[in-house]
Amino acid sequence: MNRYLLVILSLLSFALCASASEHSTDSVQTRQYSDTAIYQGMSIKLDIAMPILELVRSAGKVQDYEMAINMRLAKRFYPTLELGYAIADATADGGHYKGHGGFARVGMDLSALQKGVSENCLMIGLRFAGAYQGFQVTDVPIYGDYWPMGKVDYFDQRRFDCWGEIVAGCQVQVWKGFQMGWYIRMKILFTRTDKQGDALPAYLPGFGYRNDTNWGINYFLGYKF
Amino acid sequence: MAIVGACTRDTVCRKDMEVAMGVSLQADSLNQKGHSVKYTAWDSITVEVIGKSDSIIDNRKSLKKLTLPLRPDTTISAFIMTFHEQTDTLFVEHTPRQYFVSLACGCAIYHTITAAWSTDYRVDSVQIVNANVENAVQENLRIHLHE
Repeated sequence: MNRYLLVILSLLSFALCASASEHSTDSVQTRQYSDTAIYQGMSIKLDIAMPILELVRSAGKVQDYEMAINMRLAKRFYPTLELGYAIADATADGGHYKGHGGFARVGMDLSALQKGVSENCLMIGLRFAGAYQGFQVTDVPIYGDYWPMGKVDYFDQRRFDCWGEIVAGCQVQVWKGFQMGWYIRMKILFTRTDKQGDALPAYLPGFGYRNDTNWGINYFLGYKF
Repeated sequence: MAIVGACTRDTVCRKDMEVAMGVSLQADSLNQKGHSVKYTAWDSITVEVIGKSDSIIDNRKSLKKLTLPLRPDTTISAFIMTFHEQTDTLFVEHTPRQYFVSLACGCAIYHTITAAWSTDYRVDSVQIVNANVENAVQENLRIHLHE
């Protein structure tokens, strides 16, 4: 089910990219910026992929909402700020995790193909991201083959995690200032362990389930000012 | 599929969670030609943990390493070691600490060894090689035996 959803989203975006590339001069834009201007507008985008994906994948136990603001500078540079919030609830053999928190990513995208005034582009970029969350892990068994132990709870935990991302995606102007597009993200976690041995959250807002690396996808709707 | 697969999580532990103190046994002696020989494998060793009724190692042959579980609830663990009817007691002072591994695996108890000593019927000396007990494969103590 998830796979089909991703395939449909990707095909739709590729089709839009291709179409927009052929008819870029026909795009209707709300405001034209001079070809030589440094600042060439700002966009606000709202992700719709993660809420839908998590609704399908975790039956709503994970909710991940995010938005992005980016500027277009010197035709092909897009400094970007992404903000989001996530709630997660997960159970495994080693306990029951509940957490919620916010995240932010900052970075820069580069329009990969064209330098023109068109808003339709393929983009590659980098992000540095951090997430701060409050969480608890309960019913955690203490492993002991020879000396049997009980279970332990970690309440009122706070943790900051950070990671880097390599992103690729596309953005198309669909009608007036409205945009849509997608990002695929490869995420590399920097804060992998806790030296004190404290509880680690199973889910990181903006990153996903705790792994050394992770993948992500966003499909966004936006508006350019 | 790869994208979705990478975003999922393990719910079953795939990590070896066993934590125990690794102890190697050594003795130096001279062979018939007068050359120094180091013995590292031993027969007829029995080890009991004080606080438990059963033996954890019972008259094993060609034993190269002892894997001894430290107590998680106290800071002293003691082991009765019998070598061919000669018995020594090994004492280990350690600090247990709870270590969260993952949501799939739960917690392990790691230990930091602060001191180790023994009676000296067969044991010559006890050396701390690695004070951090965080798995069951490393060598933490080295016991030198009288030959």
